[in-house]
Amino acid sequence: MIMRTLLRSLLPALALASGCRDGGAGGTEDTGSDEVQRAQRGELQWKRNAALQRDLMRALELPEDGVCNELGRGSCTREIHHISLGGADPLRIGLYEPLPDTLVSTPIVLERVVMSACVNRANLDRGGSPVVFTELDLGAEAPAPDDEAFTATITALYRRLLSRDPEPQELTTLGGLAVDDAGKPVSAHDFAVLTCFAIGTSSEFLFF
Amino acid sequence: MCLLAFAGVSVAATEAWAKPTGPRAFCETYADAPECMGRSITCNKCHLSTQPVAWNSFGGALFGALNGAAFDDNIASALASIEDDDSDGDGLSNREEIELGTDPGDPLSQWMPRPTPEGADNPSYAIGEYDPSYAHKRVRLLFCGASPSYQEAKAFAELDGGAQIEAIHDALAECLESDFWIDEALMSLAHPKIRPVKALGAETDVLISGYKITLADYQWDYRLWQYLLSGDRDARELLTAQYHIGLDDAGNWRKIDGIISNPPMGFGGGQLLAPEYRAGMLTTQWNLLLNIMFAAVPRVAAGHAYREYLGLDLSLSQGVRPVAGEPLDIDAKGVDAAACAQCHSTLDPLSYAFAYYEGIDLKHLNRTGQYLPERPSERIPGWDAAQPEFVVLDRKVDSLVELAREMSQSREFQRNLAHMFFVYAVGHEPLPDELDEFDAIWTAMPADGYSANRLLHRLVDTDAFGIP
Repeated sequence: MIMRTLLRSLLPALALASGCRDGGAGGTEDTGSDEVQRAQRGELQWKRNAALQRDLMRALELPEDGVCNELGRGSCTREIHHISLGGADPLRIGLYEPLPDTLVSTPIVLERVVMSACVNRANLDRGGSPVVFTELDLGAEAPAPDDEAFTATITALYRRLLSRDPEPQELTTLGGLAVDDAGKPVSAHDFAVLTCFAIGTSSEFLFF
Repeated sequence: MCLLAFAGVSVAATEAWAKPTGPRAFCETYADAPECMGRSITCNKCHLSTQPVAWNSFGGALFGALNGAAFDDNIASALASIEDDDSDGDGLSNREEIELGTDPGDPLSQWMPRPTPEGADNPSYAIGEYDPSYAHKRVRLLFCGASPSYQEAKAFAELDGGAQIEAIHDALAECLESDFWIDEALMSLAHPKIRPVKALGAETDVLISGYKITLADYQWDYRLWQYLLSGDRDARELLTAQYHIGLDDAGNWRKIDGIISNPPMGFGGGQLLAPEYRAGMLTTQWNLLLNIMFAAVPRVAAGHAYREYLGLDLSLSQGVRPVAGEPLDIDAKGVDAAACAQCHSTLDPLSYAFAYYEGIDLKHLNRTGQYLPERPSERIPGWDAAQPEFVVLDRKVDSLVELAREMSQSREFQRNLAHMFFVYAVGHEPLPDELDEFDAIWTAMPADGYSANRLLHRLVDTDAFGIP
């Protein structure tokens, strides 16, 4: 259900993920003179395994083993998918330096890690005293986009993950994640996970 | 003209050899060129191949300009005579390319200046100028391991320009003391230098009759590295320290000056080498074990030190500085063959100084990492007769300790350390328009007491770091 809703919302979510805060300008297409200035250097770095894990821990207030654990066998970011996420492994495989570029599996693994962290946070908030999704009743329906709880939740996620407030059009875009194909509200838990995932997999979060 | 020269060169190629003295001669002529400052010049400046020898168009033109004259005596005038030519036909003269840092013999080696920003002001980033918010976030992520929080970012944005720069340095100073920087990031930068192997180290799970097969403990290497690259300490001691860093009961670093015995039930794991024979990271038990092993002439140990601490990889023909009369081929390995001699004339005079240190002696495993004055004579039949000289960076030295000291005081050592941090912080090698500020960073190391922390403070002020 989560993935279906997410796929339906893929296009607007991708617009968000482009990291643009001006309604789409600054993307890959040359849209002419109205475009804002582009980065001269364009040499962003990606958050590799340690930074990704630590930023998710900080933003979602998760313990080290609460971000992503692969089938209970080990940390996704440190032991299982660390190479894909740009880490080294000198002791086990003699990889003394991280690979310089991303692998084919890197985007999938990034999504897997962020999704896990978001689900873990939502579950913890549903099962106990909420920390991130404090404005949601996680056992009920998602709030409508004009509901204060909706804005408060998105704002909290933007502040935690991107260290800024959302722009109005970003709130509008994420409104699509509050309803299903038929326009009916999804569960608040799904909404929490979806919005967390969309923001946490944006290029603005993953690159610096 | 170029084609004719190159054709002539191709015909003559079978009768000619590459000149290992070429890179040194080039840098004597163009001391300020990027290849001779922020980068390491290689034979590729003139050659497509050194064995069999073949030249690129610039090398071909130079060969033509020499016109058979003695190489070392005439290289400077020959270089000058082709400065205004455009050997590779890419629109820039040889001189312009040398000053820019592109290859004058490769038309595909080019540098396009970055575009001038166009369009409306970017609401998120200060495009084309140092953006303090962008730099602040990078500092926090790279050196503290996590982005600034919303509150931190907001507080930073409310500062004025000067205060923001100050806040960046305050954040950096705080991060450089953090567990992330010291225990994670700095350690990861040491992996290629230490090259740990778990099965041989203190954490090995290989046991024989209850005896742990620890041959050496690389944690000593990591601690020395972390200690010297933090806390404003003198980074040259990476190659000159005659002490080691242990841990006290509280887990804090503790300087240990004397011999450190191997732990019980292990073949290694201490530091048995007498302090007067120590040369920092080069003479730890682990480094000597791993890089010397059974070699009589420890060429791997020398090549590893040259590559990892000076940034000169002889296998890439970097740092070729041939010593007259070398290689002696003292151990009859055939390294005096033409194809080998080009690099071994530099490598072997480095290697001799390591020959007094034991790697692995299967009959005496407790000798690993020890200084044995008789070892070269015992292991190398031609040693006493040849009396080889130890040479590094064109300087004759008397011991590995002195060799390491020469290395630690060299430009190459400074540049290599700065290069490692630059690539970590900026994400790529210094580009042509970044070389001036890169050179400014590493050449400031003596004034900064060879402190890695101060180097990093200079680094985060650069355009390469702070311009989006």
